Amino acid sequence: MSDITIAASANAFTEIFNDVRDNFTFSKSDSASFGPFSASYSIALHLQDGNIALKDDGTVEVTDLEIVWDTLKVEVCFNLPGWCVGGFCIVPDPWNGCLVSFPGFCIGGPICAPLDFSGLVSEITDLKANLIAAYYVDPARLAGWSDLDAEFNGHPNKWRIFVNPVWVHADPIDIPATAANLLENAVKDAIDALIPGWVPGWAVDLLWAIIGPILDFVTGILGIVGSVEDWLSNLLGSTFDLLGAIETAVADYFASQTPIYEFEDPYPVLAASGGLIPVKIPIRDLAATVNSQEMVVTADLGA
Amino acid sequence: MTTTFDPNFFTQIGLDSGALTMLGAIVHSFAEPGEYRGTVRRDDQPEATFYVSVDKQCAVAETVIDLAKIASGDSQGPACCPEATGPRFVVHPKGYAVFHVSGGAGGYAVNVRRAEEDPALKAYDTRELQRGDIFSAILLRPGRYAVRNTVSDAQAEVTVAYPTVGKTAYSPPPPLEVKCGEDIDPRRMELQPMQGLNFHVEAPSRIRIELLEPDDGPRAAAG
Repeated sequence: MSDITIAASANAFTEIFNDVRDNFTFSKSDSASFGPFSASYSIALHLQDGNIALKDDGTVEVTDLEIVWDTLKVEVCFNLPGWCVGGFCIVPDPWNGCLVSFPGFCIGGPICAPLDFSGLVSEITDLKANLIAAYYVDPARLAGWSDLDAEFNGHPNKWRIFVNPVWVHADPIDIPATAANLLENAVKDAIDALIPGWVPGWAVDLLWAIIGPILDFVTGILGIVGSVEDWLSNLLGSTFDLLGAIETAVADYFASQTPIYEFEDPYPVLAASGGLIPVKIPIRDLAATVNSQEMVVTADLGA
Repeated sequence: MTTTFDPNFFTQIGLDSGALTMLGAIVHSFAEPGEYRGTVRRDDQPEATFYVSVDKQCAVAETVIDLAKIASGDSQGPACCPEATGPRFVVHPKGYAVFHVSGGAGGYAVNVRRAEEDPALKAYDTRELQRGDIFSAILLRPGRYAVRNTVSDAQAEVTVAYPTVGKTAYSPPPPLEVKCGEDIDPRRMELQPMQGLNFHVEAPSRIRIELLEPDDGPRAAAG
């Protein structure tokens, strides 16, 4: 039997968890080249909502935890050799090939299509965790300090309780179906910007005729087989492994960065007063678990 | 292929086989093995020299000679011949040299003669194309053009259609093959946008193409 047993109801646990959840933020940016195109992204997100259930097997399950993408910007860049003139055959060979061809010219240059999906919401559909207690020695505490010195200097040791995710599953990023239109417009704008103002109108019409329908043109260059939204979702989630990065960040945040609760050790029972030093009792073997009703923290007293 | 937004590409509307610009190329076969020395000229002034080795042992069927690069000094020729005083190209006697201009204002002609000069042998000069040569041209600007062989005074007319955006990306049809000598055959030609035009020279020719009437398509209708 433990010397100390503290319990927090499921509702209290939910409140504590929500506070910790609300402080989670994650941001990242990266870029990579994929042969015919390159892509970059910049993201910032936080978490909201989620249904918390405490289980009798000692686990906490959070479902439908929402990822709010405060920033979700993607930029796809490619070289636009879209307008190639020449290259036709002048002298054919006897095998239906070409011996001599007109040295062609490809008109164009690099273009980038920026896409902004900020404000999007996706989900961590399932987060399963247990509770772990970890002893924290404040790194700012000097070696020669007593527990009282540490308290007076604001660097006491602590027992910390973490939600330790053993399973985090984020859903694929739900890029909206309007992504195709966004991409089409972004590419059109980029091409418009690429064409110098001095290019005559007939040449501009010629260039657009060669490009044809922009969406077909872009999907051809980028190698998009299915829908643009699925391609983007896959690019971000799998190719850039953003889902993995988010799952890791969430797990790391709950498991080791932000405790849901912490106890000072030795624990102050009576504050200093009247010239007397505070009364503190050392805590050992602190453990935390849950059942379907509550979170239970147990500990023993003594050095 | 080079990638360009060279203004000359859009502003040099006419073509002249004796003053090559970006939208024209000349194909010539040297036939006789040997060493040749070429001069790139503009406005009758020599700008740079190059060498062509016509070698039976060489398997090269097409050597592309970029006159703009040679004139600017960018073309170094193959790494084989550091002692060469100019760019050097190699081609089989049954192969072809392609003279073209990759950028800039152009206006180049080429004069080629045997490296060891023999007064008895006439130099080859692109200002007067010879039988077997091909002058290849692209007419980008929609409209009606006059074609003239200034040597024989043969004439023809070409119309280039205005481009339209279709349901698929536009791709020009194969080039139109034209005979050029005492006459130009066919005399009337209808070209789709960016469709090539290959003039097969059958008698001495200098081919000039001039815009007679531009076609500004719906932009003109819109005012």
